[in-house]
Amino acid sequence: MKCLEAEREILSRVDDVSFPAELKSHLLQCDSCSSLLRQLKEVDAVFGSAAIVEPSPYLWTRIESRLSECPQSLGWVAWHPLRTQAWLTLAVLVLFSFCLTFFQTQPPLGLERELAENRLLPSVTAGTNPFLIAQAAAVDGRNPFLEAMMPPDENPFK
Amino acid sequence: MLEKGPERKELIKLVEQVQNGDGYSCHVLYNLYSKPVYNFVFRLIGRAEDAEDLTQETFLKVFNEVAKLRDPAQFKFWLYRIARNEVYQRIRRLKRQSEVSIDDEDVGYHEFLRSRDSGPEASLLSKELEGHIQRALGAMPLKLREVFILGVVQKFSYDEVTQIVGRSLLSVKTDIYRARLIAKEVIGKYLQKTADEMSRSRKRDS
Repeated sequence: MKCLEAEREILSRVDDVSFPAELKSHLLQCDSCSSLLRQLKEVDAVFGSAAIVEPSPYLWTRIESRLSECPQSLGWVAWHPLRTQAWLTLAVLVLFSFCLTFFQTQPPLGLERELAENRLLPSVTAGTNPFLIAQAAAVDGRNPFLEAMMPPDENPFK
Repeated sequence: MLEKGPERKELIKLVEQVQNGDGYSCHVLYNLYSKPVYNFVFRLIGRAEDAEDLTQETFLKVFNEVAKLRDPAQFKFWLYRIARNEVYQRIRRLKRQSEVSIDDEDVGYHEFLRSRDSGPEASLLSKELEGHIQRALGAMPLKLREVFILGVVQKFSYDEVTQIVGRSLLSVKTDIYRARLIAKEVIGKYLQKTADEMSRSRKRDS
């Protein structure tokens, strides 16, 4: 192994604990290369033990204060999960409202079929919406489906 | 020597807590990484005041954008990348102000130190040694200095350095190799002088 090649190996292997056999053998024979390795290890040791510089103890206070100045930009205060939660809540509310509206206006299926076949509410089939009539009656505390089943003379509302 | 960071699982848990808005976890992360980041920035830019500003900007950016970090395990590298970018931006701004070309490889830390008042503040092993360290770092172009600080001073592995600086393994190894040669030139003289003085004092004692 020549010195140029050894130097390249040394410079990229200063941290290594063991070297390839060829390099080891060259280092044993070459004072210049072994001196280079020793100097580089010393340099690494000097820099590795360079003084640890302490940041100011007030640095965190300044960071915290800057973060609290702009609450909208507080990405770390979970804008992402909050947005997901907000969307989920909205979706649940919409679904709930839909179900509430849907089940309030929908009559039982069997009755719907009978109404459509004009069996129960002949007066209703004259161009009016039975579900809207039922809704309006429900507001008055009446049950139009029961009323439809009663003979007219027994219906207290007629 | 800087303390070893948290274990991977612990780090992931901490980062996820920060992403969920836990302010206490933010403080914990700050306590874990403020010193190494500050030291990296200080060694890169050479002035304590700028290092503090830049560390502050780094952590502000980190906490504001942590939700965008998809892999919490990469937090450390992401943090260092942000710190590095902050330093680069500051140096570009200062160079524009002093009308020095950013492409000029010879103009870096050392020129910056010469043009402004400087004085390294820190707890010191010896002021003289610290001065030599700063001079050696200043003698390196920024591109070499950053990989040297990460690889030799902060003891990141070559792979970790590539993740931070975004260059290939070969490029990082080559740059650390070139930086070591420069450091050897500057520090070598000091080490030789120290060795001579020690040998002289031993002879006197004997």
